[in-house]
Amino acid sequence: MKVIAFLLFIFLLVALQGTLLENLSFKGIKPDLLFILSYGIGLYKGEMNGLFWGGFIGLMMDSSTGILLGPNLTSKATVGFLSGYLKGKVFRMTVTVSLIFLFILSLLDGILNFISINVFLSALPFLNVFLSIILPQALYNTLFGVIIWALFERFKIKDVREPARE
Amino acid sequence: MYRYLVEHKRLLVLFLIIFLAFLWMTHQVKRGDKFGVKRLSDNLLSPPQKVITVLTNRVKGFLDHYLYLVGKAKENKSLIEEIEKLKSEVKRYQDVLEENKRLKTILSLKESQSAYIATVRVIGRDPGNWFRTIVIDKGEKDGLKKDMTAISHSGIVGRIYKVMPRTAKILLITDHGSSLAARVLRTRDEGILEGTEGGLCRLKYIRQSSEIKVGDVLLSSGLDGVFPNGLIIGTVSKVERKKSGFFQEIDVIPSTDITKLEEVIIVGQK
Repeated sequence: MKVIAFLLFIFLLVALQGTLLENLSFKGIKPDLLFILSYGIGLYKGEMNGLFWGGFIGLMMDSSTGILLGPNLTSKATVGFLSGYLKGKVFRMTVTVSLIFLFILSLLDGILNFISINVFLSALPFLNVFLSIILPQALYNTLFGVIIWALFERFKIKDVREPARE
Repeated sequence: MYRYLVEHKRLLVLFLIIFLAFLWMTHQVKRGDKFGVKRLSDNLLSPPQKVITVLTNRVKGFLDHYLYLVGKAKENKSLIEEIEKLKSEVKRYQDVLEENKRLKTILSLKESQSAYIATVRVIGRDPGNWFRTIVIDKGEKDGLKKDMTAISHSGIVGRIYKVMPRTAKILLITDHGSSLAARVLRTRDEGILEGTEGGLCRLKYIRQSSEIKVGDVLLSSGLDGVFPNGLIIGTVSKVERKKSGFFQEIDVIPSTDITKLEEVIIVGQK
């Protein structure tokens, strides 16, 4: 039942990402809530959950675009896995460390998307893409990460400072 | 070696998934999506997208026309209230006038386009930041087909790249994968217009000797066999002539504000 509810939540979030989130776009870049979700799953539920759910979320994003299935599958699965993996390697996961990871993994998410698109679709100049998509997206995601973190703290949904156990 | 693999089995699973995803992408580029995964999520995502778009528009309208007034009414006295109300009325009339103007243009466009197919509403956009696509509320059952052109009252928007029974997807001209044959209205030079990673357009293959200036208007030439001839695309915003090379680098701003599309017209080839 929980899994079905979570699947529905992911579908709703993909739909929201393509509609409501458009109102928050700045110069064509909007925050990627699905990236933050993949990151969060890895962080709280461990690397294998992050890998699986991240991959699924990425697949939904790719199929929603309908051009090529794979770029987001690859990047979100990697992000989900690495957030869980890195958490296990860090002595204490503080808010700052978590946000630094979020920023770095957002850059990685962008770079992996860039590689897939470059290999399979069209050759894009890396520096232009980095400055116009990857970096602004990472900054925007981190800003949203802060807001989501604040909301978690405000409503005490769950004590996110507790390290996840595999 | 075996011990190393056992110790890092989780990392191996990640690499395996990445490897399989790359294999799958290679397969798709060569043979397309045989498993119908794209269609599956389209059918699941379109209804919530429609609902969310309608709700968002209603909430926006509510916030614009009522909440603003209610908030002011509490703060100010009756006279200020009256002024605000009048202001709002004027704004509303202006909105109605604007809408009327837009719809009139669309209507005249509809009448002038012999290959008019349908007027459609935008119900969603790409969830990521990598592709410039929109989802519209009509599809195969309304007569829409792949490669039909989407235009607005001010110019070309893009082309349909995917059609589902009740919805369709449009690849905008600003997407990096989009290209169309274009002609400069003043000089009659012809080139290929491509989308850029920054969400603008670039005109390619224009000779160094061509006298193109900032502000020149671009039209579709129809030579690509997809976009109809003579539709406005945009205006030249920057011309760069390099010392080496055969061609100029020309940036183009689309005449349609792609980020604020609400409704578009679908036309076929004349």
